[in-house]
Amino acid sequence: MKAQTKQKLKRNAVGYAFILPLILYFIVFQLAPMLIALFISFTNYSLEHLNDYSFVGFDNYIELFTNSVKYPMFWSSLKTTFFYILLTVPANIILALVISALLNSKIKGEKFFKTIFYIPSVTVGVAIMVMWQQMLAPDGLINQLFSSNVDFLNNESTALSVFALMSIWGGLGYNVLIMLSAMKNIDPSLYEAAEIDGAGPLQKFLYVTVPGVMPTVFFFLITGLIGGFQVGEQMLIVYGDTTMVNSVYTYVYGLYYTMRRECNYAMASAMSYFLFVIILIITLIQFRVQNGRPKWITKLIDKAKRVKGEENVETV
Amino acid sequence: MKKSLLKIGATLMLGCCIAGAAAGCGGGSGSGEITFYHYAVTNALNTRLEQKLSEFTESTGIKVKHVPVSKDNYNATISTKFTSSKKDMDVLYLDQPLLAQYANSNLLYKLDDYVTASAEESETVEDTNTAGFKFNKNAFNESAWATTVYKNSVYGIPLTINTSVLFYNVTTIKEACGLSTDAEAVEKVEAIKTWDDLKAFAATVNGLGSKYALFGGMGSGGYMGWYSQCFIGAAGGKLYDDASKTVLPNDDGSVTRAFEMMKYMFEKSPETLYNSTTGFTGTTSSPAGKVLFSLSHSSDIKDLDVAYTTFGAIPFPGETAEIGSVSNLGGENLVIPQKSVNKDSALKLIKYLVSEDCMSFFQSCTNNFAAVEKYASIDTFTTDAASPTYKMYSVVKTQLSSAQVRPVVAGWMQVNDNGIPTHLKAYVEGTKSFDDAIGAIRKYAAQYLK
Repeated sequence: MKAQTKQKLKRNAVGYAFILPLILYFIVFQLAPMLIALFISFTNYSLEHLNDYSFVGFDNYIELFTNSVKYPMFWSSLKTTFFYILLTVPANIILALVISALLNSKIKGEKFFKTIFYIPSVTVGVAIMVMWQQMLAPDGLINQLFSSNVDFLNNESTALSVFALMSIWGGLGYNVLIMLSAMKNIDPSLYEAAEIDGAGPLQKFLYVTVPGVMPTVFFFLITGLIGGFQVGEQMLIVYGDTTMVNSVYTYVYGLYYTMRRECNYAMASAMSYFLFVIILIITLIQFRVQNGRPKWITKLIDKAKRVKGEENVETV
Repeated sequence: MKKSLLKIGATLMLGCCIAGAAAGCGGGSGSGEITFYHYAVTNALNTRLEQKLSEFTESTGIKVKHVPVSKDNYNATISTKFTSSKKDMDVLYLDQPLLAQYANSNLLYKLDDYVTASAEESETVEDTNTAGFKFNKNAFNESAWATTVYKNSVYGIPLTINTSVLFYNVTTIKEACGLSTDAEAVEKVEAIKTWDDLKAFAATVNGLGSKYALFGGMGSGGYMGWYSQCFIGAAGGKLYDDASKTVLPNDDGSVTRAFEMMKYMFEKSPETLYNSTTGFTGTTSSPAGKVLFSLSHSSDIKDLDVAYTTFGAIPFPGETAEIGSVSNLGGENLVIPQKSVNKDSALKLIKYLVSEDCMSFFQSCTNNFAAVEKYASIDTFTTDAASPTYKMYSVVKTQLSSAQVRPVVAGWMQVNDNGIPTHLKAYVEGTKSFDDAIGAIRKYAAQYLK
């Protein structure tokens, strides 16, 4: 018995040795910074108190939530971020679904279209931003096409939509590729069952394809929300440190300003953790919702199983 | 087999740990080597900088490791370096408004012991009458020097400076005012000395507000805060009264008048027109309208040096002739972090960097003027005295003599970046009254100023 345990331990040790670099990496570069940031969020650590910082409890959090004079953009930046998510996440999912369904319907040149859609995903983000910036400039391609004169990126009413559009365009290729592979994994007998029930193409899409790719949709929802909450980098590329249009002042942009320009590391850490809590709560809600599978999906799957069973009987 | 796998694994682990430790535990600069942080420059200028630093090493025996950082990311990089326990920063550029913030946090080395004010040798950086090396503050632009003084102590040595002037597009002016020659356009613009002159000029523009914008705006964020100083200074006011600790003191109504003038400028410059940079430069066939003036600084002259059209510049007009032209001041200082372990060598490097030869180099890098008045030379940019470029630099150089310093107060950066622009923007857009805007700016400033 002892010899067996020893052998098992020895065998496991090899495995652990191989994953040790990853564990070390995780502890040193991910877990430790996260815990340090959590600790910092309860102190007054900033450029002013680099060497004499002290524990301040929840003061940073309270100030963040209540001091609208010092942090006038805090709540509005959160609102902007939510709005950005509302613009991008549903559009990302719907477009990926529709385009993937079209590509999945055995159209000619599927590979060509897949490549075309995937190009933005393999292009450097900064290059994409610069390209859009030039296209959307007052003298850019879009204005010249429509003989208009709109400074899309500096106009309060258009700027956020433009960023949403850029994000959707940039992520579409990846989303389509993942969604398409999810569609290809749907059991063909489900479509047969639907056909027997007299379902047309639209109904098959709505009642077979969509439920079949639900786990992928859920994946997009989670990653889209997390990515959406973290949006800010694009704005930094376009506007730099401080030049900002209020309508695109996102939560992470504010966090960046607090961290890198004001050098208030404690407050920036508190902002990070507040964001972490928001993302955590929303993700938990999503998991909860996803766990309750609608009855009609279960029914359809049962029916498909029956059809499959009947076919097998006939074959036998 | 298993044993050898374990050995390989263990060796890899150990290797990783040693490499990690070696990477993470590096201390300050090696003995005799100092580190200099500066804005990244083009390859050609970088080669020149390396030559200069080699010359410094040859003459002093002090090795210099220079770290170029992109300008956009510079301040963020520097602030992060300050939090590190590594002592690998000895000399660095520092944007003027950041000096108070760092000095207030006791992160900068006081240079009081290395400064003198020699009247006799006012044109030299090194005061030859004092035993030991000292910087002669009289050799520097007075306003530039003021940016280095925080709570009566000197924390930096000015390197380069710039200021804002009104650039104009000769072709657009000619077209908008129905003039037939460039000379007439130049003459008409150069007659503008006061705000009333500017308004009278605006009245002669056909299609002002629809086809032509009076100016190209003031940017937003930090730029808007900085440009607002031109208007406030030109109305005889100031951003901050140190004695009463008042932000935008308005006892004489100067701030009210400055705000009104800014509102006037914006009203005559619809957003659809002034947001277009190309509307001013006219370098492309933009469907946007055209912009007559651009409130900008010397760094932009290089971009205006285009063949398409001709540009000019006038000093920022004062509200009245009595007040005269007043503008803002920007630029960089050289500082030594408190944590530097090579302060003597760092001082020697700064002394070298503010020499005539190096100053000329930094002028080329930044398109700003040298902070040492004697070395501030237009010839660095162009030697063709008859060219519009030369004239524009000449206007900037003249304007520097009446450039106002930003308040050297810890926390001013936030007031400049957020407090002023947010509420000033609301005022010029008509969503906030003057009293509300000023009240909000002061309330914001009270949260940050130390």
